[in-house]
Amino acid sequence: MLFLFAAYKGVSVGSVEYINKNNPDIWILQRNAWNILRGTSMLPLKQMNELKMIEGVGSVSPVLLILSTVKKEKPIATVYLAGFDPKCELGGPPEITEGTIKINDNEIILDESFAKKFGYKVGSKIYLQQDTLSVAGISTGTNALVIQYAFVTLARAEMLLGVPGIVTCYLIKAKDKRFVQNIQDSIKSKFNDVEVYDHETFLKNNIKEMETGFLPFIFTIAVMGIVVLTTILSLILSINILEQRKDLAVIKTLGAPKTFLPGIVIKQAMAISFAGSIVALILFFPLTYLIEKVSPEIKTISSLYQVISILAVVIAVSLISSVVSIRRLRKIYPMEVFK
Amino acid sequence: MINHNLKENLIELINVSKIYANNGHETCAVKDVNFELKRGEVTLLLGPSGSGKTTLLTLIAGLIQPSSGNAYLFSKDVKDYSRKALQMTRAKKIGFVFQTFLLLEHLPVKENISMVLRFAGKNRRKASETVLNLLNKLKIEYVLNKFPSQLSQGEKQRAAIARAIANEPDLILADEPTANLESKQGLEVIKLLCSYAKESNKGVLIASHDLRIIDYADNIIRIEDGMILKN
Repeated sequence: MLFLFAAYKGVSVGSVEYINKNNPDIWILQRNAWNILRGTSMLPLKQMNELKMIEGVGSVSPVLLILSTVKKEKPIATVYLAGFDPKCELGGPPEITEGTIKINDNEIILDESFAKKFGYKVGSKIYLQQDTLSVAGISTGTNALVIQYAFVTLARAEMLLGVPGIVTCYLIKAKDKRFVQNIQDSIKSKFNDVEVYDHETFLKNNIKEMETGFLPFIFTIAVMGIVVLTTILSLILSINILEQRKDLAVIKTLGAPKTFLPGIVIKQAMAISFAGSIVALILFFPLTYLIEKVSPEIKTISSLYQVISILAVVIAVSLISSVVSIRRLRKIYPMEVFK
Repeated sequence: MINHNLKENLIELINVSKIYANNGHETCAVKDVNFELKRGEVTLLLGPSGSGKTTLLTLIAGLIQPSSGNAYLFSKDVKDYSRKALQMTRAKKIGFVFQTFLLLEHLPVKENISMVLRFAGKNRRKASETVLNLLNKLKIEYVLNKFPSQLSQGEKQRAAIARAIANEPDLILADEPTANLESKQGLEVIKLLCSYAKESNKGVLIASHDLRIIDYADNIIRIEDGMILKN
């Protein structure tokens, strides 16, 4: 559960890191498009000059996003290919760990986890559809778990798409934050077929999109985990009650208050759960390290909040299991001790 | 100074019968039983296995209800006790000595004894003091922190008696207290129970088939097939 929680956080943060770290003031997409993770947006490249002319606009960066298959010797993986203009301020990888961001049309930048997983380094040759490109850089903040970003020049992306003069979105940086609202209003009045978002709204849209796809999956696994945990704990407690049947009957005979025996069962449930939680906590970090080593695309983010949440779940599971098991106490009769 | 009424009936059974029904078949465990137990008396319920001794003990402890007749416990019909009142009565006014000691194996002796004191509402500190005094009195203070599995049979039975008298109950119910002991140890236990009854003016009811106890009992009730033969 802790791992699921950490993986969920890792996905929800990691999948939008590209959007977050590019940090433009305004995002422009085709009408009715509201995110770039799972949606189509096509805008004419010629709009770029018109956008630059709007008062207060500092820079306009076009990005063309397409899904593409990357090959080494045989097809191996799909990447979310972002064509950007290296001369523009935004649109490229948010951070480069190795190599350069200034690429030419025959070069590509790969995500760090993707490169690790498939053994690419700066200088490696890579086959992108019919073309051979050279890996010029390795980036971070470009891992969306189910898919990783790769970066080529806008011109190369257009060639791969086969339809020139089309981009997915524009990233606009205002000369001053005070101009952002005016720029948005101007774009809306000038272009009919576009959606204009400020950065925060667009980021939230993408997080929401990611969560709607990923959360139910995590939720289902978590619920199954809770049900299994509750069942196992109930069984352990029930077996414990059966094993201690005679002792419990003695305690009843000796005049234990009504709450005493249920209290023992709850304490046992808590003790078992917390012991399990401590073991889980101890194992969590080495296991996470191991998983991330084996599958670099899996990124986890853990926090104290997660640990506290899991402990709250553990307490709830303990109480539910106790309630189920406490019912067995009713079938222990004090008379048993006289036999 | 003991202020109890010396003639007070701790137990009084009037025409008590207990019938168990099982799959439409009825078994009469005890039939028309009459007897009483007063303060300061040791009563021996003598009879072979399956004679109804255990049923009578559990009836008296309020663990089961009679099918007919009236069982008075501390001058009140057990039918008139609420569940909580019976639990408090067992905790405060009745001490139990079981055939196989039935000390809780996973608790040290001090916890076994202090548990009944806590059931009776005593706080932890007071309970600890009482336990130590009791063990000193019974000359087994060295078993305080030992677990039952570390004790000899004699030590176990003394610890069980310490638990039974910890709350200075008005009544002790002992179920075959000598069954698992050598004769010397068995008699020692009976003497302890007798001295408790006499010195503290309490009642002791011993259910047993051990004829050696006869000499120590004030009253002997012979029971067979659920009926009292001789009182």
